[in-house]
Amino acid sequence: MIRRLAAAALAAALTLPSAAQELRLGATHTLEDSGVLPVLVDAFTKATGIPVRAVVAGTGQVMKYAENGDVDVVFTHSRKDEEKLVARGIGLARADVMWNDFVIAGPASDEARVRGSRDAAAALKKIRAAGSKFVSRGDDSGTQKKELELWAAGGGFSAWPGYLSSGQGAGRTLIMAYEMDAYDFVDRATLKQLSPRYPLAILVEGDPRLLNEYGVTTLKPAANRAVRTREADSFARWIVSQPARAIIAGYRVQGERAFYLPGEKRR
Amino acid sequence: MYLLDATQQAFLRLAGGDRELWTIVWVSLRVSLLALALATPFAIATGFWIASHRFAGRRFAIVALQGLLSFPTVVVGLILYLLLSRSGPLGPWHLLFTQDAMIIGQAVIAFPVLAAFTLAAVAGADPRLRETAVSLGAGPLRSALTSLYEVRFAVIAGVLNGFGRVISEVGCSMMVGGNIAGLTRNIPTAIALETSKGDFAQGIALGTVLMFFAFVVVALLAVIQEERKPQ
Repeated sequence: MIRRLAAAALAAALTLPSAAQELRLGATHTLEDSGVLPVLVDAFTKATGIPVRAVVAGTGQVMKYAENGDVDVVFTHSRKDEEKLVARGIGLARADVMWNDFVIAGPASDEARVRGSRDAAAALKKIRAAGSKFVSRGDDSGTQKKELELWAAGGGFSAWPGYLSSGQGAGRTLIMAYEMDAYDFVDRATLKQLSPRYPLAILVEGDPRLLNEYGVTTLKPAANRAVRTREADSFARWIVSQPARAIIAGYRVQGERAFYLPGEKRR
Repeated sequence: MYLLDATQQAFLRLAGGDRELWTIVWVSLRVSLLALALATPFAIATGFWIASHRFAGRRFAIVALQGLLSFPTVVVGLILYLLLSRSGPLGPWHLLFTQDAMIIGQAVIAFPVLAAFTLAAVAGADPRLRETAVSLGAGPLRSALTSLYEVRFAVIAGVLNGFGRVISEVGCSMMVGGNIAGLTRNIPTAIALETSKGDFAQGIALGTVLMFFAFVVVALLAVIQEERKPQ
């Protein structure tokens, strides 16, 4: 009797993991906060039968997860870091998936007078010069990396009392900016997604440096990284396939396109 | 390996006087101590009053107070958030994502602990003491202070327990403080952030400081217990 129970338990233990060969997807906050991630994940699971566990974090953090073998494939928005991952032998291959852009948003009163500027780096400097409040992600995310690039392009970053580092995701950081009448550096899709409840004005847009590119990178299996290669490959292939492209092109937030396909021009 | 490396780095940072790290510790201490300073007088008065008065609904008040001991801190955070939000009734105060908001939240969280300890202590004290004080001509305030002085160790134990609860509280601080670096980032919210950022050394360093505080509190409680014995 006991032996039979033990055998049944063993059988259950052995069959369970193979039955739930779920894909661990490392994804960024902006994908989640813009609402596109669950749509893509559901469609992928429906098409392939592979269940997905999406681990949402800032890009920098997702890269660490990749390194530690905590995820099987990453969907992030920092091309430099993704290419570095491949160069370091942790990532296997990277592919462009989609893009949109970042904006500088803020209170309609716009005390730093940056509205209409097409130079994002100069606008950030004006916000600092005015001593206005600015909520930065401060979490080593793709968004923050881009913000820091802009500071570097504008002659370097130095903090001021109004510069607040939230350490949180795009959505929560935007809500903080709204609550405090502060400026925010955010991707357009997240801003649109939250705009009905937290209306921040788009003040600076159209600088080519504000490009926000998303890529999927598969990971190389290694001793400390038990990567589910088969599932990860299916995802990497599916996300650039025609059905996925149709979903991305058709995904709308507040009636507007939120993401564009590689090579596609806006509108 | 991984854990050991991170721990070693953590102690190097603690010893090296890492400014960011010690700022976080300072925010934690400041907020929690001010929260206790804010809550203690009200809580002691409430606990004392419930213990020493007979009134309708007293039993309910006691049960409610004890129930509040396990009130989830995130719910305190949620309610406070809704009150302080721009669209909330206290929005014009502009308190959301400030240390003041965290202090209020932690004061609310500490209140039931302090009040319940005082209540239990006063209820368990010898009633003749207060009667004697009154018969010797002490007014209500004077006799109340006499009773409280008699149970001071239990009340201090309550304060230390309250400190233990708020210094390690993460939910409410995160929600109403916003985890802003240098301003509202305290030890628990920083640990949550550093872990998710993958900076485990910073997380361990802060966790070590937090555990040190816990040990200090436990040690103080032990000392108080010793002091109490001869009485």
